[in-house]
Amino acid sequence: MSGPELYALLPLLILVLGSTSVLMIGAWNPTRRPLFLIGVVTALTAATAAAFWPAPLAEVSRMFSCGPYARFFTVLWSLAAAMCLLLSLRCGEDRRFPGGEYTALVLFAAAGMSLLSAATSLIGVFLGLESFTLVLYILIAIDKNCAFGTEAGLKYLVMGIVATGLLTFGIALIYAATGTFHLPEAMTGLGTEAGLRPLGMLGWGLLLCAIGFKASLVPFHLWTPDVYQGAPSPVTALLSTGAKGSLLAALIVVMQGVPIPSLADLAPVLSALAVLSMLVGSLCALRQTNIKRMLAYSSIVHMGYVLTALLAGGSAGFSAVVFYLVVYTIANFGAFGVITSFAIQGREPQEYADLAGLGYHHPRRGAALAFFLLSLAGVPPAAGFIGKFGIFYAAIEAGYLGLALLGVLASLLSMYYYLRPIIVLFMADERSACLHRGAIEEHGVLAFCLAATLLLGLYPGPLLNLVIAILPG
Amino acid sequence: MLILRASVANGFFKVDLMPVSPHIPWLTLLIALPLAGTLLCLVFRRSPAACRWLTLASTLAVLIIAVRLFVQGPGAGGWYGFEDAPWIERFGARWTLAMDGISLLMVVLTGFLQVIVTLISWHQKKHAALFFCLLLLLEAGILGVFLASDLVLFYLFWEMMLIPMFFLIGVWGHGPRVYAAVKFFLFTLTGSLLMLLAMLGLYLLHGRQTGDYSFALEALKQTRLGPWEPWLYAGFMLAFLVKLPVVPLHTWLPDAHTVAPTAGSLDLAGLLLKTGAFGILRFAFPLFPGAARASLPLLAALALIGIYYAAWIAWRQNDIKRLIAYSSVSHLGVVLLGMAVANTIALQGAILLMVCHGITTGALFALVSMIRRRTGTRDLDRLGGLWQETPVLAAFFLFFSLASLGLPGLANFSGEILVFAGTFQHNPLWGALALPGVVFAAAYILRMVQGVLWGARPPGRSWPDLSWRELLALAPLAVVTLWLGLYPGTFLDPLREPVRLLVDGLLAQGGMP
Repeated sequence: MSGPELYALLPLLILVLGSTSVLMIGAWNPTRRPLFLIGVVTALTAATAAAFWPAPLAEVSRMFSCGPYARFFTVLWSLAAAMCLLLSLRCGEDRRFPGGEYTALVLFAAAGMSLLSAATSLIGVFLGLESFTLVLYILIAIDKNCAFGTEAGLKYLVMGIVATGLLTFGIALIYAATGTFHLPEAMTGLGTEAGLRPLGMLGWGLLLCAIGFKASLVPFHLWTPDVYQGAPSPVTALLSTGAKGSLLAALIVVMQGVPIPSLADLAPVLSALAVLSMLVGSLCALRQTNIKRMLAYSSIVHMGYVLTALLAGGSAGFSAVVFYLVVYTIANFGAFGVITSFAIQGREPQEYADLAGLGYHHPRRGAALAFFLLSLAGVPPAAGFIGKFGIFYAAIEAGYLGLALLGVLASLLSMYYYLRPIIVLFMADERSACLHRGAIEEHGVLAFCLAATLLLGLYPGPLLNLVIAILPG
Repeated sequence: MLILRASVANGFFKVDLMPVSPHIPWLTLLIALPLAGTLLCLVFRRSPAACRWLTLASTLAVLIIAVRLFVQGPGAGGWYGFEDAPWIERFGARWTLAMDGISLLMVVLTGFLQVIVTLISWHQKKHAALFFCLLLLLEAGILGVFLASDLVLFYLFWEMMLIPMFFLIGVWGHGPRVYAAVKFFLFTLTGSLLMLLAMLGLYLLHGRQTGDYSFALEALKQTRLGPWEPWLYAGFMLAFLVKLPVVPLHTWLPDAHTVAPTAGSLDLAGLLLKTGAFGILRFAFPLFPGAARASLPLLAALALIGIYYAAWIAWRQNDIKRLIAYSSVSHLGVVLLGMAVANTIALQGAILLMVCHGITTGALFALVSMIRRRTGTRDLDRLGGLWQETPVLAAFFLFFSLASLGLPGLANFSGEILVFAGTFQHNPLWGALALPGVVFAAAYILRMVQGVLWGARPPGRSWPDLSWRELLALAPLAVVTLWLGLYPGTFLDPLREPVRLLVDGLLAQGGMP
């Protein structure tokens, strides 16, 4: 690997080397707080490097891109890792997370997500995806005293291994059909190689199944609620944003290479996945009385929206996807952050009954949680509205009127299940006991998410322009 | 004056200073003042007194600016103000606020009622800071709806009204408050989401025809709609008719009113219902003149059903707050009839009636809460004898009740007579069908007056008459009621030009070339 190539991978190297050294330091000095803070600094350094040092190359080893698009997501996932670590400071102490390992794994997950978003070849997709899923298996079950966590980790592991198998086989078939791993060619090849086309499409189908598992699209979603419930909230936040978001970011690159006739063949399958995700996700979310499980089902619905925009394609569709991922990431971290900050001795208030009347004991965080939920529901002036607006706009423009209508219906249903915790927070007759006051770093993360959600909702112009400017192709 | 401007060039952020003219943006200020009040209330949330005075100050400031714009008179082209600035360039959405005569009246009404609401909620005890925050946020949203001239901006404010109202009903209501709040929220949101789809459809249609992707109302009016017109029109109308509310879609209103706190009822009846009617006049009719023309008989039928059905239900109510809520539905039926007739007189009457109804119904809701605070009930069977017990309160109650039933010389009469005159001019049959509605109104209002003011007073201790603060809230309402009834010309003048434009727009065959 040459010097410029290493330089081009600098942000990722910072993450990976930082992760390794934290692991080393943790072996000698396992005090949690300094280790977590080193991790935060590393992640922020990586984000800064990715934002301000343009790479000398466009692509490394014909596997990973270093363009502005890849860099944008490196920044996003590094920030997510930093937020995850900040939120873990107190709960990690209470629940006795192993300091060195936890920090190292979170940083490594960020590196894997960044790799996946930067992938320009199917091998790159595989490497990125597997490197962070492997990490997540451990992170989900990191609390050894929590039975739910162990169950969740095992569930994710079993589902993940099946998905990996499908992914590998799918990639092999696509390679057999087109003779290349590199992304635009591999996808373009599907359209031209008439004889091997069925093989390639079969590969595509398997690839789609694997993606369905990882991004929890219906009917591959069954692991989602249990894993969300069992994992510690900061990890859940990372899982529900980075793990799914990086995959969709890679999917944009994949979709851009797909020629029109193949796209026409794929459209019904993708629409079906989107329709099912929106419908089943919404209906299941309605019945939940546990906020983490509700957020799990609602994340399935969100993936349905994103898939709609992805299907619509074009610069309108892809930019809507990227913008939505940013907004969704911020709101999710906010919501899970509030839940973490309420936790006493590692016990998170998950049931709605635990949240009753909290809006008055803790008005700021109660209002913040309400605002994040409204952002997820897409109510202006929260940023979620602009995100949904972009998605419906792209869908109608591309002629997917039915999907747009269904999206509106799903938004309406979503209003109901997002309102339920809000009602409990502010309108319940009974009050639950006061919960933890929250640590300063938790308040910091929440303030950042709140400001970003409000700002992006009222003045989204700069970010929208940036997203358009960085789209690949 | 210079302002900071952030932009993106070649994927990097750029910040530069941009000169702006030192012209005072009154309309933006109208929206910004309540928002600033909201933030200040959050800062001083430990002191209810500070929040009260802050709320009063910002609502008064809004009223003063509104009255100032009224007195100043229209500028070029009949506009009282127009402001435009880039907002979301990627979607072609702009920060465009425009004030014509109709929005002027609505803004003045909002400013006025909001001051009264503040006075009435002066002794709010439960979570006072949050309460005043929400009141101000609601005012900002309502003002935004009346001023926005860009569809995305309008939608933003339209939804912004929803959340404060949801909390006002859900937190401060009594009885099944959560049920009523959620019902209100879901009904309104269903309408708005369909409107959002219709907005996007219209935007794309316009963009494809002209290449100019814009949400500006004036630009979108020029769109050739083709076969999509009825669908887009329906999307918009559904949102507005739910809010109005028209009879089959009205069921959220009595529930919301029954449980809402006084301030919530006042805002709901006085202002929120008006946003529905306003939306029809400002957006639905001008954007889709063809479909609107075709739908007028249907609207008239809905209006007639509404007038009678709501009056009939009102007649059967024993809860006076619910009775007034249904009377609102009935009155708004008359407003809708005026819009369905769509000639100059009827439209002017409909808009005037909106203002009158806001004042009189608002006053009645305030009085109901005063009565309830004294007697502890709103049940007609258990009330009575207030005429001897609290003469001043009873006099005000009688006054506003008579205004509400349309007594000549008081507010509602001037609006109703114009609507009926216009209706007879356009279609005597509709007029003949609608006119007996006035008798119905008289029936249920007089039943209420009789039950509350006369008869045997319920046993128990005596009640105090109006306090000076209550008097201070009711007296301006009474003055305006008289003014609207005796000399409505003041309020009709600003309406001439916009109503003429509306009628021209509706009558022009096939829209603009």
